[in-house]
Amino acid sequence: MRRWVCVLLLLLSSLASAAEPAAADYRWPNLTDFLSQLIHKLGPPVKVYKLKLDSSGGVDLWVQDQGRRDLIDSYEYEHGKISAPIPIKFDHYPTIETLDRHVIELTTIDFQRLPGMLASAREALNLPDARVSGIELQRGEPGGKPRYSNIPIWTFRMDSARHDGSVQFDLAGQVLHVDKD
Amino acid sequence: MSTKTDWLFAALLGWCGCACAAPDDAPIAPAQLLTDTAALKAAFATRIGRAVNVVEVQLNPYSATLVAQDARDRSTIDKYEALPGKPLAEGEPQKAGSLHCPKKSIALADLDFATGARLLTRAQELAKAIGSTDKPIAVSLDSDPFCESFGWHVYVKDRGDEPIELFASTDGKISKAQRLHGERWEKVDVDALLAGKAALVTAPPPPQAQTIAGDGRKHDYLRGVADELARLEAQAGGPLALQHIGIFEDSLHVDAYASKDRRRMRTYNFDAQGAIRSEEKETSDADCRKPFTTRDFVFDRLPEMIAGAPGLIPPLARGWVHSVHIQRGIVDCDAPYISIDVEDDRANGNVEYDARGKLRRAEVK
Repeated sequence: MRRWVCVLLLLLSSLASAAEPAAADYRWPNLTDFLSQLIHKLGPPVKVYKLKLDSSGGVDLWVQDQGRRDLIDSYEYEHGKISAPIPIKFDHYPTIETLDRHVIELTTIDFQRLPGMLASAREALNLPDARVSGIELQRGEPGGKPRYSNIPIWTFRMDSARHDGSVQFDLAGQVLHVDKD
Repeated sequence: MSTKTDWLFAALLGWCGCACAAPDDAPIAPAQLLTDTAALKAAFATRIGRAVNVVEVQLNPYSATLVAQDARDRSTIDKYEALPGKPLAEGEPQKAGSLHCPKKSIALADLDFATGARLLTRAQELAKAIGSTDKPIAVSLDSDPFCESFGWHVYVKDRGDEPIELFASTDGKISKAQRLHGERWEKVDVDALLAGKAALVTAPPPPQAQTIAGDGRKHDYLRGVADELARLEAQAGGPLALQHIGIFEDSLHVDAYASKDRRRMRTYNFDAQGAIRSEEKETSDADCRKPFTTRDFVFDRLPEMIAGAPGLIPPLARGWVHSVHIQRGIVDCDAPYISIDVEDDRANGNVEYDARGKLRRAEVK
C-alpha cells in the first residue's frame, strides 16, 4: 500500500506548484493532502464515481465502497479536514455492474493537468477574466449528446460579468466540447 | 516656503477640480418619472451614450429600470436604473443568456415612455371603475411568456382577485385587455367598463378553509388511521366517497368527493396533533370521479401491511416507511390499491397490494 500511496503522491505533488500562477484566480484545494488522507483512510484501490470542486476550492468526492460495491459514499474536504462518509442516495438504486462501469480508478487521473486545463478553458471561451464556478469529473457523454462513449470528462464551469460557459476535457486534457451563452 | 505651499494647494485644487467633476457629468433623472417621460428617455440616452435596443423596462413612480442590448453586439447587455432626481449610475453588465426573449426589442431612439405611462393611467382608471382593491403603480415593457407580444403591460386585479392584463404595443397603436376568468383568458372591453356600459362578472370568493382543533397528543398515522376515518364519517353522517388517502407519520390527507356529480372535492388534512384543516375545491379534469369506501379494500390490515413493508424488500429491511397512498388506478380507474413507499439512507423502494390484500410487488426503485 505504501508504494501505491507514494506513486499517487508523486503524481499529485506538482499540482500545488503548477497551480501557483493561477492561484490568484482560483484557490486550488490541496488535493495532495486530501487524497493522501483519503487513501490512508480507505486503502487502495480508490474508485471515483464523481469529483466536484466548488468555486471556493471545497472538494466533494464520491467513492465506491470496495467492501460493498453497490454503495457510494461522499467525502468532503474543507480547511484541511476530510468529512466522515456521507451515504449517497440515488433516485434509482444502481446495480453493481452499473457502478463498476461508471467509476474511474484514481491512479488514472492526472491532477497536474488541472491548472493547464483552466487556462485552456479561458482561452476556448475567449473569456480571459472568467472565474471558476465549479469543476467536475465523472463519466458521461461530451456535450450531453449520447454517443455511448461514457468516457471520464472534466467539466470546467466558468462565469464572467457578461457570460457563462463550460468546457469539457478528456483525462489527457484535450478539449471535447465548448459551450458559451 | 509659503509660495511652494500655495503652489501645491493650487495644484491640488486643479487636480480635484478635474477628478471631482466627473460624477457631475452623469445625467439627472427627472423628479417625476411617470410624467416627465421625455426627460427620462433623454437621461437614459445620455447615460448609455451609444445605440442600443431596449429589451425590458420597469417603470413606477419610484424607479425606472431599463435593460438594453448593444445595437452591434446583442450579447453585450447592461441594466440601468433611474431614481427620481438622482444621477444615473453606469450600467450593470448582465449575462448574455439572461434574457427571456433576446430578439424582442426596440431601439431606444424609437421608444416612447409616454405610451407606458398612459397605459398605467388607464389601468388605474379601470381599477377604480371596477372597484378593485388593487391600485396598479407599475408598468413594464417586455414580452409575454411565449415571446409573442412585445410591448407595455400592466396588471389589475378584479374584485374576485383574478388578473386583468392591459397591453399596448410600443407605438401605442394596438391596445387590448384580457382577463383570466377561471382557467381561460377572455377579452375585456376597457372603454365600455370605463364608460359604465359594461360590468365584469366576478367569480365568487373561494370558500374559506375550516379548522377543527386536535386532541393535542402526538399522532403517528402510520400506526393506523381507523379513529380518524371514523371521526370524518361520523361528521359526514355516513361512509366517505373517497378519492385518495395519503398517510405520513405526522400527517394524514383524505380527499373525498363533496357533490353528487363529483365535480367538487373536500380535502381533510390532519396535522401531527390531530387538528383537521378542511377545504373544498374543484375536482381535477383528469379524475375518473369514481369514489371508493373503506369497505372496498383491506382497510383493517393497513397497520400490519405498513409495519411489514420494509421487511419485504431485503436491501431496505432496516429502512422505514415514508408514506402510504390508497387510490384507484390512475389509468384504468380500477379497484383501489395500497402503495407503501419505503426508504433508507441509500435507496427508495415500494410495496404494493391490491384491494384484497394480495402482494403485487415489493422492490427497490
